Amino acid sequence: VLAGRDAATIVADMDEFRAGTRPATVMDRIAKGFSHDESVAIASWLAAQK
Amino acid sequence: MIARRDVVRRGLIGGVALGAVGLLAMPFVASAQEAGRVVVVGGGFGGATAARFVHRANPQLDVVLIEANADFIACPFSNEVIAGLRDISAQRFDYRAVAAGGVRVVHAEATAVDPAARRVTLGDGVVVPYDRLILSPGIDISWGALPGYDEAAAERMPHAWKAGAQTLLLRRQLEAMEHGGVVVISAPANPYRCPPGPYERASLIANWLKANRPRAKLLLLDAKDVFSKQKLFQAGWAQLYPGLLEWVSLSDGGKVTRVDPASNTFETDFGSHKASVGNVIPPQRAGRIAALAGVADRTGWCPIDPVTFESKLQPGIHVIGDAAIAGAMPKSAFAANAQAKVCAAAVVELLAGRTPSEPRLINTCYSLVAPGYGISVAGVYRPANGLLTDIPGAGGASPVDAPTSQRAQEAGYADAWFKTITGETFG
Repeated sequence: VLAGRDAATIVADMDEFRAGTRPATVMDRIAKGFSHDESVAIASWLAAQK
Repeated sequence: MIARRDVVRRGLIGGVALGAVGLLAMPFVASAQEAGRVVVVGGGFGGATAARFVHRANPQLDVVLIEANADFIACPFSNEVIAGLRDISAQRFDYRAVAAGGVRVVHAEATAVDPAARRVTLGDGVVVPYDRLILSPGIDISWGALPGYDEAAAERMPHAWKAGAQTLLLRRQLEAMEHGGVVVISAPANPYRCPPGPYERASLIANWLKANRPRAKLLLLDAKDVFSKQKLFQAGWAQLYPGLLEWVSLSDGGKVTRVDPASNTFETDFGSHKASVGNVIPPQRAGRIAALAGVADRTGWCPIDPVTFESKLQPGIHVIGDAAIAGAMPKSAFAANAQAKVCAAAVVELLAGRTPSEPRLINTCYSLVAPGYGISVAGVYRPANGLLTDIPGAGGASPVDAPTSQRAQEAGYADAWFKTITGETFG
């Protein structure tokens, strides 16, 4: 579950998916569609969810 | 249901209602009209999601979901039902949770839309006014677009491209098929619902034939030369179904030009193929209400603004899901669900007099080549030049050289995806 997870962790994970340094099946392909700044925006929204 | 419809009648057109009914309805109508009325037609992955997300974003809005059927039968994973891997009950969902969450669900058919007066007419004559209308009608079969294929023909040669009775009909025909028979599937030209669907279906039927009718053949006649996840499917077919599944491309004469349900025959420019079981995946267009509302163009599909999903033909009407011309986004349940969220946010912003922000959308489609053998294609999209376009460098298909363990992992993710999206839409 992503909702409520720490924003910095989500951003770091997205950065690793984008760079291809974190093993993935599909998140590597999706993360490449978002910039670091967009990942920050997504992560801060997710972190604020219950 | 009668009581609920009464509430709609009172709440939506009952602004002038008097007496006891008026006492109940007036306060509700007064507050609803200040905030705005959003009507959604079509309760699939697009429409049910849109209704829920509009309500969640602004509970002051009056949100009505109009859906003809009491139950929804999901298309994703219905190929597993055809192949005997899954019971159709796993595909069935209802609207109780949607209604309990604050959306007013009306089980009726929308038979007309008046874009100028901003109102929808239902089959029983009830008129439902709106400030913003979201149409998510899915597809209709373009009966007659393939000569010989009409509604009667579909009872002999099922399309099974809307899940339910057609899915079960195709399943029964396979079970009744003789040994050594031939299954023929015809795939249409683009665009159509679920681009990888015909190829997943061929895969899973071949999987069933291999175990149950080992001398049978499957012929996939295609009106295209290229298709979704092509390399992955073809690698899987060569590995799992050699000599059993044959794909005939457009260039090789695969385009079906006529079908004859009396003899279960598919005709191409180069010959005819008599089937033991014939599955016609026919040409399609936006669901009927789109044309009635004047939001479908000559292609039969609906041009939309890529930021708000508002129709380019009728202001105040938004179109999402399979019915929309969504540029690079495929006609998939995932895409409909993503578009629903973007459209819901835009509708809420527009009703509040604000400008919707530019969206990013995602699609991921999983397909099974066999049980436990999953593949996927993904995309990330943004508006550009009036269309939804691929974000360069993102998305793409699973690697062709992935190990078996990754195919198994993706099959597991496909299951998880179905649970997540149906939970979000109906749960």
